[in-house]
Amino acid sequence: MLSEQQVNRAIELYADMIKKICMLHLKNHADTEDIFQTVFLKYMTASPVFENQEHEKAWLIRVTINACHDLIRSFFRSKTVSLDAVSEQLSELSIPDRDVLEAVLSLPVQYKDVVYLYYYEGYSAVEIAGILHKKVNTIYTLLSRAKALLKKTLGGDDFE
Amino acid sequence: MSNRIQHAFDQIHADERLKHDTMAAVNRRAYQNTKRKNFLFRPIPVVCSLLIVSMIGLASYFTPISAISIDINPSIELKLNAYNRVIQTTAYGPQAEQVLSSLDLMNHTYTDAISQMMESDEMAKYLTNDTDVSVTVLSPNQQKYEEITQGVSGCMHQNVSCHQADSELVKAAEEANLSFGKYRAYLQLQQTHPEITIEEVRHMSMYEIQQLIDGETDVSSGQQQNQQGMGQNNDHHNGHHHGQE
Repeated sequence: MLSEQQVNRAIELYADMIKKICMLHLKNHADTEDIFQTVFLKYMTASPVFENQEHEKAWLIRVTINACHDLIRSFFRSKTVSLDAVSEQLSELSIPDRDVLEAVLSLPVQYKDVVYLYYYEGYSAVEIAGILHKKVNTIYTLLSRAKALLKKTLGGDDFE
Repeated sequence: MSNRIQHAFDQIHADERLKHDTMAAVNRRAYQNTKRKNFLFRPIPVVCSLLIVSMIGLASYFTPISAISIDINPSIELKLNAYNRVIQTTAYGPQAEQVLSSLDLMNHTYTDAISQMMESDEMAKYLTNDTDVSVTVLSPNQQKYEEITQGVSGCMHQNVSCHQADSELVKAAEEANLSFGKYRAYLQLQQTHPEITIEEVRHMSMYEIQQLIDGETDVSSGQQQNQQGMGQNNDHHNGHHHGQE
């Protein structure tokens, strides 16, 4: 089991990233708190051995995405979700940022992670395929379709 | 657009309260596990009683009640006690040994153990999102079988096919030195391909076996008609899925 210090270090380093991933999938603060605890408890108890920080980051991304999917599918999760947390957070952003985030959040679920990992975290399609356990061609297809949807929603020619 | 997405997500942060609450919750749950151990250290008369109860409990703790065979290629078996905790693990083949050697699954609940296994980097070499995982369960009764299969399906993100085993199958598999899940598949394969031997099956992935059962492979050529992207072929497979067509 990892020490409190090691877990604290990981929380400081990766909390923002996990928050962003939670935002893609979850709609309330309680669920986000749940995921944070699930992910870092796994991190503490599984004590995985990482080759480097990138390896650690990829592991946390995968565990977070899986935890979000598990929670969404969970029978015990409340069927009524509060929209206040996400709406509140979006309302604090400037209009252009809010539009972009809303567009990404409104994508079908299979596109969101890929868009986030590609455009924000800067992973290549091959790396994303490794993280999400999908075929590379699948990632390219998802990216292409996501781009088309985002372009339709947000307009602009600077999508690449 | 990528700049716009970066700028938008840059505004999203985990606040200090969330980080603090997470750390506190994780510590609390880890501390609760430690505190349970301290419970055993009581005054002597109570210790004796506890010792007797513990010995009885210990015996039952280490008695296997159920078993799960997880077969992809690698094949790994988990034996569970009455508390659904892993008390024994068995790896079949060097790939499975490599997966298990990177993990500590003993005394974890089977759902935790399976989650750890499926999220490990060693296992990731054999997984894509399309991977079919065969899970075979030996259990004392139907209720336990359903409970375990539900638990297993809940902690896997791949396509899972569940099968039931009996003690005869398990015994025969042990004698053949195959996981009982793979042995079950071998018996099924025998119905349509009696010429295929156990030795040949030992080196096949579950995907290959299933392809033969489904009649989607030409046995004589030994080639798979639909090999695209699965990459689960034989022991010499290097285990990398991403980047393949």
